[in-house]
Amino acid sequence: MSMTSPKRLVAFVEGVGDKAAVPILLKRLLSDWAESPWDALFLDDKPPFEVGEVSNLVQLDKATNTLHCAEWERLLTQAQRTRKNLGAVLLLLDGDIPKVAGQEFCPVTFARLLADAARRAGGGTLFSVAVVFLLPEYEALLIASHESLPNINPGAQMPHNLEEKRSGKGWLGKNLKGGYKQATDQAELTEYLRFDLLRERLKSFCRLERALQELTTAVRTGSHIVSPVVPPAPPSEAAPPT
Amino acid sequence: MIHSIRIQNFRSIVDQTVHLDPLTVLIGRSGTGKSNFVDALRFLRDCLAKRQVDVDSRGGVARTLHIDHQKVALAFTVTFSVIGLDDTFQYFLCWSPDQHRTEEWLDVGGKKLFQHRGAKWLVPPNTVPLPSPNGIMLGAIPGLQESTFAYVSLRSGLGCYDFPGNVLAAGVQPGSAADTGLADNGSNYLAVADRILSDLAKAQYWKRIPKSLRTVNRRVANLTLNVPTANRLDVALKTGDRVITFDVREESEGFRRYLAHMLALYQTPSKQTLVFEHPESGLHPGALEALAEELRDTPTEGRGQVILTTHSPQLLDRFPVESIRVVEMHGQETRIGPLDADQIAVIKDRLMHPAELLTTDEARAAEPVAAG
Repeated sequence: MSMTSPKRLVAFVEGVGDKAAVPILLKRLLSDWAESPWDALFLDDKPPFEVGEVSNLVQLDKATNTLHCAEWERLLTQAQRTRKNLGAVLLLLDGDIPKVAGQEFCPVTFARLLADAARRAGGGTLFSVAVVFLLPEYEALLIASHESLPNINPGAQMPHNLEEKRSGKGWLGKNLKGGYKQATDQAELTEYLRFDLLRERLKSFCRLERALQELTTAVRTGSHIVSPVVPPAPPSEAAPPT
Repeated sequence: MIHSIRIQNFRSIVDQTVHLDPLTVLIGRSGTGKSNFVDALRFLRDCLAKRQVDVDSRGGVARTLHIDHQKVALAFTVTFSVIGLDDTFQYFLCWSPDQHRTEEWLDVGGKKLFQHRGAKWLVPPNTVPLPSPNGIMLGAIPGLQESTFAYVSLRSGLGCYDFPGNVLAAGVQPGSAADTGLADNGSNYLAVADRILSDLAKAQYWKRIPKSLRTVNRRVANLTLNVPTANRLDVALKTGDRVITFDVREESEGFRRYLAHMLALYQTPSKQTLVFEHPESGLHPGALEALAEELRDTPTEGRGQVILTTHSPQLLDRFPVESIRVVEMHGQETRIGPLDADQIAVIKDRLMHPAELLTTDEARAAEPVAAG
């Protein structure tokens, strides 16, 4: 059990649909755990930060040809200033983007880059940060749990390899009576997600749940983290053998 | 769907062929000719409705033709397809200011079905009795079905919307929506709402509208039309445990403008082509994503091609880069073309966002391909 009062969990999300849906997802998911996290965390009562796709947070420094995350760092600083008692930040974005700042998008690499950059804004010391990409996009959660959605067409066939690139919105549009609009339907359908199905079918959902557990533990113990952890650089070839 | 339109000598446009997609977004500084492009489409449609080229409706020859080409003919060549038909249609309408003479022809699937210049048939339609050419003949040749399809597609199938700030709040025009659908200024919205509701096979359309309106005002519960008189459109707002209804005319400008766009997008029968000028006007930025999604989905859901103009970086960010057309002024002439290939490439590489085409690195049209 936490020895201090609960800290605020703030979400950073991609668009308007996520802004409405993610608080519902987090509230339902955290309430689903056998061990309640609410002694350590409380869900921000203000709407999540809407940051757009990941390319809004990562820029290319042309002089050094390296990637930097100044915008992400600025937003984290802003969150710290405007969300009192900040304990944890969850950046939850879609991973369906082909390129970011001119480079091929790899969710692992970019999650590490953003997590590492968060340290410069107090992540890992003043508060904890987790970066999670849903693969390929939030709609994969809805498809993976399609049996539990209202208005699903009977006999709707879940696509194979859900986490590969495909149009989740198109699938939902075809298989939900009345179609699917992200901006208006995403939150409503999130209410119906069955987490047992998601745990079984989606690796990126499991990663989200693990990240939330890491954040809870970090805030509970006061040992702040950034997640995913950036692995230490390999030893230099020039270094003498030990 | 209109695949391309060549406009010759209309206002600031001297001779431009514009290729259009199911979704096309026109951007450019004020005064470059975006509105003139939209008005060219509207003018063509209105001429078809009146069965004559009516330059007086645009302030006479001096205001309708390009300032440097007052004696040159005004012409439109439209290449389009009609939902449900395989053939490609091409329609040509030309008006010469010196003789006030109209020339037009219709080609369907590579075959010219008729052509006349003034009162003389150059290619008479294969129908009996043969009517005498008089004004615009498209859709007025008995027995020539393709001509009727083309007429309907370019006349009632084309909606050009630039909603005023008092849209859905000003005096209601009770007129029917059956013929032309939602009026350009939205004044017959009650008839349009009644028509959407009357088609129960499309009841989902009606349910979509209040859902989408919730992105403007979260308290919206539903939208009801006072039937059978259809003299009032009410918005039900949740306030605590109660639901309070208001006449839509009492709602805010942003709300009414958003609703007007939804009625245009979901009207039944659907338009073949929907044109919107600055749909972002008066809207809270939080509603732009939902509006952009509705605009993007309209062509894919078979409710018509969408063409729009915008000055909004936030709205532009939500459309595919391939849909962008750049409108520029070269001297006294409007030029319209696809975005510069280098700018497309950097946007695809996520080194730049489409929004920056209106701010940081202004949009440039691709150089036209040299003839020959």
